[in-house]
Amino acid sequence: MNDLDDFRAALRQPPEEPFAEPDLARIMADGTRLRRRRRVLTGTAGVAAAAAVVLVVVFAIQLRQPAPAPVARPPSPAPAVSTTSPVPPAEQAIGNVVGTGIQTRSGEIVIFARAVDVPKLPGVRFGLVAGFRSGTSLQAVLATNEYRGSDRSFGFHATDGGEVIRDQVIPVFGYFAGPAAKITTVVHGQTVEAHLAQWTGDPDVVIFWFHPDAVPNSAVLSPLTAYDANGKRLTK
Amino acid sequence: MARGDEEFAEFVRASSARLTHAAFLLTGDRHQAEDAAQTAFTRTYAAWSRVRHKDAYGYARTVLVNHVIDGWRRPIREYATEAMPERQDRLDVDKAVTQRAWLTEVLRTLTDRERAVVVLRHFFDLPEADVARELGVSLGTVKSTNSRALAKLRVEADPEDTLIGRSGR
Repeated sequence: MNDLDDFRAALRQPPEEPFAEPDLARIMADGTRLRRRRRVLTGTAGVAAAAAVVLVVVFAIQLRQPAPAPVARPPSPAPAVSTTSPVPPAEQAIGNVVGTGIQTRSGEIVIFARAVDVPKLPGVRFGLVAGFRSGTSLQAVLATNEYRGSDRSFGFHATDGGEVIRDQVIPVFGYFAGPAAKITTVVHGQTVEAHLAQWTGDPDVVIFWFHPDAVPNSAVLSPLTAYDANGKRLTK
Repeated sequence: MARGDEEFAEFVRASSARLTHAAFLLTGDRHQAEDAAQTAFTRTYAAWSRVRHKDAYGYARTVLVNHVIDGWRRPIREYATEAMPERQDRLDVDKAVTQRAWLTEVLRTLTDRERAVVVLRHFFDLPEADVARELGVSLGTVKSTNSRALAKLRVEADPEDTLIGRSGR
C-alpha cells in the first residue's frame, strides 16, 4: 500500500464516537416548509405551449383573480384540470414584466408579479412568477411568495428558482423591499451580483435575479446581501 | 408515512454517516458537521421528488459541500499556516487514535479549497473532472490544488494526482 492509499484509508476511518443521527422529523418539517414556499405551475400535456396552466399546489393556496393589467392574455386559453385548486386565469401581471434576456425555445424568461389572496397570509398581497414570454403571451413556470408576515417588510422575500423546470434552468430570483441598488451573493468564494429591476407596482420593491451561468442552482447560494446607492450595506 | 418519505428516511439512514463524516473532514468540528449534514438533508428532502430517482446522494453531497464552502464566506485562502504537525512514521490502522488526531491536525493546515479538493477527491473518490465541476473551478486548478495539498500533507501522490500546472488559482 502506498502513501496515498494510507492517507485515503485514514480519511475514511470511522470516528471514535459515532456522529449524532440526523433528526429526521425536523428534516422533514423544515424540508416541507422549504417546499411550501413554492408553487410550481406545470402545463397539461399537449397544451403546455398554450396558456392554460395547472397549479400544482403543495401548500393549499388559492390565487385571487388579479385585476386586468397591461399584459396580453395568451391565445386560446384551454381548459385545464387542477388536482388541488381551481385553474388560475390566463397570466396577468401586476406592474412591469421584467425580461431577463435569456431566450429559450418557449420564449424569453421573464419575472413578474401576480396577486395573492390567501386568508392565512393577510400580509401577503402579491408574489413573483418566473415564466416565459413569447410574443405577447405569458406562461407561468414557477411562482413564489412570502409566506410569513408582510410581503413589504424590509428585506429579502420569495427567493426561489435555480432549478430545471421544463428542460430550462429558471434563474434564482426574488425581490427586496427597500432601497436596494446592488444585491450580491457568494458562490464558491466568488461574489456574484444580481440583475435588478424596479417594480412599477411599488417603487420600494426591487426585483432581482441571478444569471444561471453565475448561480447555476439554489444550493450554491450563500445568504444574499443588499446595498443602497451609496454602497451602504442594508442587510446583515 | 408516504412512500417517498419512507424512501427518504432509508436514504438518510444509509448515507448520513458518510456525509456527516465528510462534513467533519471539511469543517474539523463535530457540531458544525452534524449541522451541515442536517441542512443538506433538509434541502435534499425539499427537492426529493426531483432527485429521488436520480442521483440523490450526489445531490446531497453537492448541497453539503457547497453549504460548508459558502459558510466559510471568505475568499479562498492559499496558505492557512506554515506550521506542520509532526507526522507519525507511517499511517498504521492499528494506531487509529493517533492517526485520527494526526489527520485532524494536518487537515487544519490546508486552505479551504485544498481541504475541499482533498475530501472530494480522496474521501468521496470523485474523478478530478467531477471535483472541478462540483467546486466550479478548472480541471487544472483541481490538479494543482490537489498536488499542493498532498505535498503539504507529505503524502506521496499517485501519478494521476501529480502537479501538472503551476497555477493554483
